[in-house]
Amino acid sequence: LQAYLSIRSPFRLNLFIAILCFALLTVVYKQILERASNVVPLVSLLLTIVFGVILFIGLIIIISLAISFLYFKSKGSLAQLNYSQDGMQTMLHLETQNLLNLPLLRPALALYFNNKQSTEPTALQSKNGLFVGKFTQSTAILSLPAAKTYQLQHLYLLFRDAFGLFNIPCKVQANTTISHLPTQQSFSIDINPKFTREPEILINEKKKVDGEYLRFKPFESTDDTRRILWKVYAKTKELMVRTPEIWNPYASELQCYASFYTKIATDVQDKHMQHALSSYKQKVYSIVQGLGNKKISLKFKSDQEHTSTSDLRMQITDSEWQQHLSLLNFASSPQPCIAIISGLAAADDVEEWLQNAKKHSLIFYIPIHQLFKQNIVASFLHRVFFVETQSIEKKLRFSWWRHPLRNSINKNEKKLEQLLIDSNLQFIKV
Amino acid sequence: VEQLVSHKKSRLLAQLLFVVLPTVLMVYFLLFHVNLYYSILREQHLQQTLFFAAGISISTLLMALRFRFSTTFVLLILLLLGINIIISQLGTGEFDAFFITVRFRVFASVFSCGWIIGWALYQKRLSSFILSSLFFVAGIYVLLRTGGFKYKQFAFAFGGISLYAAYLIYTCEALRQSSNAKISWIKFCARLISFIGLCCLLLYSSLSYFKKELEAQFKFVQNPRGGNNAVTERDAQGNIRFKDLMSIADSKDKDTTLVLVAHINNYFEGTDIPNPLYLTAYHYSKYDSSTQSFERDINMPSNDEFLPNPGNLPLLQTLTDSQVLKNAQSTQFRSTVEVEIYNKQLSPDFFVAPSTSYFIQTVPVDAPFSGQFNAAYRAKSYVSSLNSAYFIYNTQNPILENFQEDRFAKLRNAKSLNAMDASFIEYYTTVPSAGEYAQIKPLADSLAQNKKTQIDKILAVRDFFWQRDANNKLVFNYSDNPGIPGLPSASKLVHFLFNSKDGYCAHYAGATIMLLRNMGIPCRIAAGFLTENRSSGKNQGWYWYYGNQGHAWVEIYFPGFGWLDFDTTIGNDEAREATQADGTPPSLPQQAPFAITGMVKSIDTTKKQIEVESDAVIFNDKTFTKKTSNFTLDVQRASIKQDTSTLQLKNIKAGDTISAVTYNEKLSKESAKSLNEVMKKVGRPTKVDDVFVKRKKAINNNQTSIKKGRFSISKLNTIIIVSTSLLVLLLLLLPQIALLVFKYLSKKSDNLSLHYQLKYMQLKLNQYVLPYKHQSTLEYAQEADNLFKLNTTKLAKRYLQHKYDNANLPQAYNYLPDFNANFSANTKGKIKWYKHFNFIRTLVYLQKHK
Repeated sequence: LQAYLSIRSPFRLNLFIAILCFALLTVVYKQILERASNVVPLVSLLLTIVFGVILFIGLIIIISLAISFLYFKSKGSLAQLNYSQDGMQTMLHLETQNLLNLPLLRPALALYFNNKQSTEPTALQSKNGLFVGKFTQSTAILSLPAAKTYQLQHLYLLFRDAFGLFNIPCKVQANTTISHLPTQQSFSIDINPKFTREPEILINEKKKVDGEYLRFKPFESTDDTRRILWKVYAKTKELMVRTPEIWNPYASELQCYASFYTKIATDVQDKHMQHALSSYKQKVYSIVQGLGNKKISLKFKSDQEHTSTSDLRMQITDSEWQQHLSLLNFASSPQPCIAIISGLAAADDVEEWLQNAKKHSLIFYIPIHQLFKQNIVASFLHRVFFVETQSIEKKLRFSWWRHPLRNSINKNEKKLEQLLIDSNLQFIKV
Repeated sequence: VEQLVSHKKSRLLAQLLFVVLPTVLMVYFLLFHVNLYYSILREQHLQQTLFFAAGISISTLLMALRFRFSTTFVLLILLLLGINIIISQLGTGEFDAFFITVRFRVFASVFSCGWIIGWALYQKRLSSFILSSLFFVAGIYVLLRTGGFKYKQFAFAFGGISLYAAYLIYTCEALRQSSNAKISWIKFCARLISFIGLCCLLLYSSLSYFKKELEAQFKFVQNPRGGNNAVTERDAQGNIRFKDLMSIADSKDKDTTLVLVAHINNYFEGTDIPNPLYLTAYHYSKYDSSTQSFERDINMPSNDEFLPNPGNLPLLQTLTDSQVLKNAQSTQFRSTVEVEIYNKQLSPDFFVAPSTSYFIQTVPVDAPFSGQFNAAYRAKSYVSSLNSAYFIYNTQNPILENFQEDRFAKLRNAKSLNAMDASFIEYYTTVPSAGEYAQIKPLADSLAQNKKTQIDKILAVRDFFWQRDANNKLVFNYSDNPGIPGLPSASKLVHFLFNSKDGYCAHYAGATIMLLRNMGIPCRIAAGFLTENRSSGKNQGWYWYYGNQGHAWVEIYFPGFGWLDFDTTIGNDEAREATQADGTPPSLPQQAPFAITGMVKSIDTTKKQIEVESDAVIFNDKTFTKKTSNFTLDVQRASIKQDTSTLQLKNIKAGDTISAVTYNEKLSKESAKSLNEVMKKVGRPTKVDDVFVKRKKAINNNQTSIKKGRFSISKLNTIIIVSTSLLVLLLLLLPQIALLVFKYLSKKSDNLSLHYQLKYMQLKLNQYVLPYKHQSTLEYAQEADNLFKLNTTKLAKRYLQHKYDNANLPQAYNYLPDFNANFSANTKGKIKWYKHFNFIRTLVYLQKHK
């Protein structure tokens, strides 16, 4: 509401403070006047000059603000709007038409987002500094809180004067979506050595290595003598072998299931759950990417209903908590596989799945409560000495202790962990 | 931390360059001048500025690292307190410790100020407004207080201060607006420079526009033509006025302009040797040791101050205060002295006369002198014949010495104070005795040793100031610039008495008061003009008063004799010698036994008679104001004057206020008890010699011209506030006004009726329901009809038909009542209140659809 007001109200606090200062100066001046000292005429003359100058500058500023605003309101529009992502920062590139670049005036920009799912408008703190570079083309840096797709319905161009007294909002229709994609986080746990230790067992074994013969190389003592190319030898008297293009023996068809199934979280639109979802997505993406980097070819499978894109990142971005497709029903590979489950997963479902799971399957377990855990002493000390940035994460962390699901989730996570320890499968807690 | 620094690096750099650096410069300017003024700071402005700069930079840096202000500031204060304690205990000598501690405190406070300002400027959005107004006020104060400027420097400094104030607000806001993005340095600098350029241009043009006035006012403040005397100052019009308190300052200005001319009708008994008297304006009876000044006190016991306002008194009006005479308590050697004062530069509100005055009558200034003098009045005072300006002059003149001795002898017979009212004595002998002032009592006792009578004690004080050292040089000297003691809190009087021994009248009078009161002698300070007899031959009895004759002296109470003037100031020869030759004295006003002020009822030009309804009638200095009665004045021989010009009788109109005077000497011997008696004595018609016309218009003109001269900020404020609120009101009501205008137009013109009806509908729909964008008229109407059933389409179609198919003109039909009824029925309760005032929508509509 505060952000909403600060965008919609044309008057800023600066204006009131300026008026207050002006009134105080007048009072001080009157005090001098009452003393009837000989400096009064000089002081009043000086004040007249200063107030005159201030008034003049103020008028220029307000008039240029009004002209720019009215001109844009009647003729201007948004010419282009696109975005790019760099790490966790989303850059919004804007180009406007008919925005008058009057001296002493810089419109600032505010954005309004409407999320697909929630109707609650989220005003994003991007009111400042949009039109800094080229005036009509500019880039705003957005710090989007969650990894998901945002529906950008409209945005507000804020016409703000140079002294920051007024803030006239101008609504511009945008109607675009911004997908804030998860980024890969580096994990301290190195999964690969452990995972590749027993590749023969883990994967569908292939004794013969298939490959196309594309290149030659001189024969070495370790090479298979059957591979010597006698025809080449006949011509050149050199022992040559073809080098096979080797399929990575571990890269074939390893299923990776990411489960978004939950039974505990009744209200999945809850802020905490949404934050957990965002963080879960980040971790899922990081795991999948991390495994992929180690030349392990994964077949990623998510339990989402609508998977329109084949792009892994987008798939993860658009994922939501769901309550109908359980792990048991969904991750049913005949081969050993990788499963990613969250702390919100249903314990009985996981238990059943573990009983049926193939040997050598690997489970990534991502607990939720850690997300909201805080070191009270450290955070208190930090609070004492530093100004905290107001982030959603911190707020959520702070309000976690009175969350209705906190106890049940903690219990569930303990149970899940116990189940994972009891099972003879390998699991990694992320 | 590293990440934060890199993220905020450019912001921090910009803050340091564009905000902190100018602030440090501004503080340097302030500290420089404050250092000149306050000796406690010991002229270490550079070091102090460096400390301030350190404070503000470190604070800015820490704030950029997101350190919390409150914690760090508390730590800083604790640290400073700790160092303070250590320093105060480490110092070898007591004095050293004190000195180092004071210096440390100065630096610590400068540093903490820098700390706070750095924090506020970096983190608090609103601080720029508050700080810039604070700096502005401080700058102006320093500019006016510390002085030592030439006009050019003053104007430059003022411009700088104002520029800084505007710059600070602008830059802080600009930095904040671009805080999210990387700063484009060149563009940012260009922006700042263009803003500074604009401000400079505006300031320069307004300063040069007001240059003349500003320069005049500035010179007046800097060197108010000697007005900054111990007891006098100049007001805005350049007139001399007396202050309500006499402070002991470090210097006094010299002023040689003529203030007033007085004729004092006081001569030595049986001779025509003029006996000058000091002119008194105020008495300062109370000493305030906190401000080190002598103050007026309305509640002083037996208040004998007569304070009429000659400026408000109508011409020829008299005023007598009998209470004053009672309080003067003088019974012996009392005589009435008449004085005529011709005012040139004394503030018109002020009244000066020899004490104890009790009567005033304003009199006209005769024509040849009316350009030279602004006003004149007569005054009467009861003056003890023992009182004289010659009283305690140290003089070689045997006649005067004899005269003085004669008077001292008389005063030795004065009654003792024991019979006096105890509270009276206590009030007039109260002096501070604590602290430094304790040194005065022993001195006073040593002077009073072996002196039995009051006058001998006073003479001992006089002789104390006249003492000479071994080289026969005077120990006490007169100086206009005696300076002040090293520590600002030290008493300047004690410093004068025991150390510097240089001072001017305020010092001498103040010190005398201290000594006399310590001896138990009731006394007070009188402020006014010292009188020096420079007259010769024809001009006997005329005295000329220049600005530097503004003076303070001591009045001492003698039981039975009342208050007598004593002047202990020595060596003030400059004020005694005229800096320029005295001019020709104005002719004395004739005795006017009969004067009348009133409103003209009718004029008879043939008989040359005026019928006047009297407001006030004065007969031989007695005023009759209670009843009004009609007088017929015979103006056959009278000269009629208005201000300085002469008028004809026909110029007088009924309703004018006039004053008329008779100089008939026969009447002056008569006396009357009632108005009727007066009427009988002056006869009917009364022959008058002078008629003075006062027109209200003329008075009004004068007042406005005075008002014009002074800029009134409050007036400007009201104009601004009223006009802006009117503008806002107009803007808010714009939608309704526009609607009304369209409605009116649609009714008025037949041809364009449909056009305006449509406009009305569109405006209303646009205002409340459906913003009009780029649709065509018909599209918009259909859209509106889809929302509510309003029949707008019908009107739109009819309008288009009318517009493009002139041939087929159906009779104009008024759709509006229908539309309005439908509209209110459809939108009942749906329209939010603020939509009525959303003028932006109206403006946009009006702009789009001209």
